[in-house]
Amino acid sequence: MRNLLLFLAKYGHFILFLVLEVICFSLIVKFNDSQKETWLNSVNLYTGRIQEQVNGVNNYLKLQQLNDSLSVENAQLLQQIIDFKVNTKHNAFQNFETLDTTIHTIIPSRVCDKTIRLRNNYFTLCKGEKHGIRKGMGVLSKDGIVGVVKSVSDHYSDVILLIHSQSRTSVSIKGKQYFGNLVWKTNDHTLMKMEAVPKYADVSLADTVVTSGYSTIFPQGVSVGKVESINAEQGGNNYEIDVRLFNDLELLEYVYVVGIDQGLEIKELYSTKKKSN
Amino acid sequence: MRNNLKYVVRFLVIVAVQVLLLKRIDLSYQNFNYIHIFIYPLFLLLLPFQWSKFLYLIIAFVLGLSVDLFYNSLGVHAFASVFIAFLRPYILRLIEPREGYNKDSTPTLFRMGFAWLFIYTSILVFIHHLVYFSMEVFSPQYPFEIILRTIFSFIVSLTTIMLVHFIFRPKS
Repeated sequence: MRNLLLFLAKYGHFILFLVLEVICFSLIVKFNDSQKETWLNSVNLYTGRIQEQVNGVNNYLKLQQLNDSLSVENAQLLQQIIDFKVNTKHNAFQNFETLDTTIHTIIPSRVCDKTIRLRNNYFTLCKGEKHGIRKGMGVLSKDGIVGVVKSVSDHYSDVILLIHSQSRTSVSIKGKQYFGNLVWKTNDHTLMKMEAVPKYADVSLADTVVTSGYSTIFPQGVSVGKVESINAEQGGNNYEIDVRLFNDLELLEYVYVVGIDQGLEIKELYSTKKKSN
Repeated sequence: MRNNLKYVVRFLVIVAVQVLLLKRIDLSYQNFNYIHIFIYPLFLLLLPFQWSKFLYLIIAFVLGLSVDLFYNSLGVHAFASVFIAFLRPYILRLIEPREGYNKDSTPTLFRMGFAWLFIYTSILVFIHHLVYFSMEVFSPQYPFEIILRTIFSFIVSLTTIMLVHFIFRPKS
């Protein structure tokens, strides 16, 4: 205590000096506009960099959440686009049949696990039956189709990818009326084959391949890939078209599971037909 | 008591002269606006040698704030005057005459003589002006402005303060 008093007696005026100057300084930067401006600017110069670093880390930590919210938003936008496309009914065939396939659910989901290099490749999605995913739904990404839901558990679902030896998707050339099946025969996970396109078809390189809408899995007109080369089948009537996928399945982190309104209904119809046959 | 009253009156008069008279004197000529006269440091300079250092600081703070209120620059004058109030005892020790300071004495022309008073006043007024203009310009981007203002204002303020010493000849 005595030492403290001695210390105060000796250096107290210096402490008071500092206190008063700090008060003056804060008064200056608080009540004088030009000084305030300068002060804020120069303080920002130094603190800004620190803030930026902290924000960087913060953003990185929030990335997951941000991505999730973005994918939800994307799903909504995607739904709007698809609804819009379907509602315009520019396709004559659709008009005729009034086959109004509307998407009734789009569920954004993260990819939990994936295989790419195998012959039969799967995605495991981090969402399942509880989130509305059902067997047979289609899976899209922002660039195109991905695969079909094969099985669902409560919280997870398995997706058969396009690059699966048994995958078979009905596709067409955009703007033309030729249909074919998309299968995977190569080892390249971005290269597919479109089969059963008749030789009289007027297909050119760089044409876009889209889903045909015949299947009950994908809505019509979702882009799939680009025509890379056209080969005539040996001794057959059909072309074999190499299609380069827009999707790089290896890099995909987020996908959208889509359910078509009438999809299940049509499927039932087919199965009853088969039975009756 | 009577002595303290003297300081109160002196405080009021000096602040009044500063803010009512000197503030309105405009010595700028075209772009040359470097001259501002400040005599209120005189009040701090005239305080007795033996008062407590704490008291100097408090008085300087109050004095600076009073001037600031009229200059619309809250804190700037206070900063500068607290600064010289802090330095004053050290400067006094630095320029202490051989025989030392008389207790209860004050730094006046009458007691200390012209040469000593001139050095004492110029050192503290110069520091005051330098600090004041630094805080007023408040940016190291304009060093010339700070220096020019300090030098020209210092010359005029010093002359004014010395004139006050000669005219009024405060005894204590």
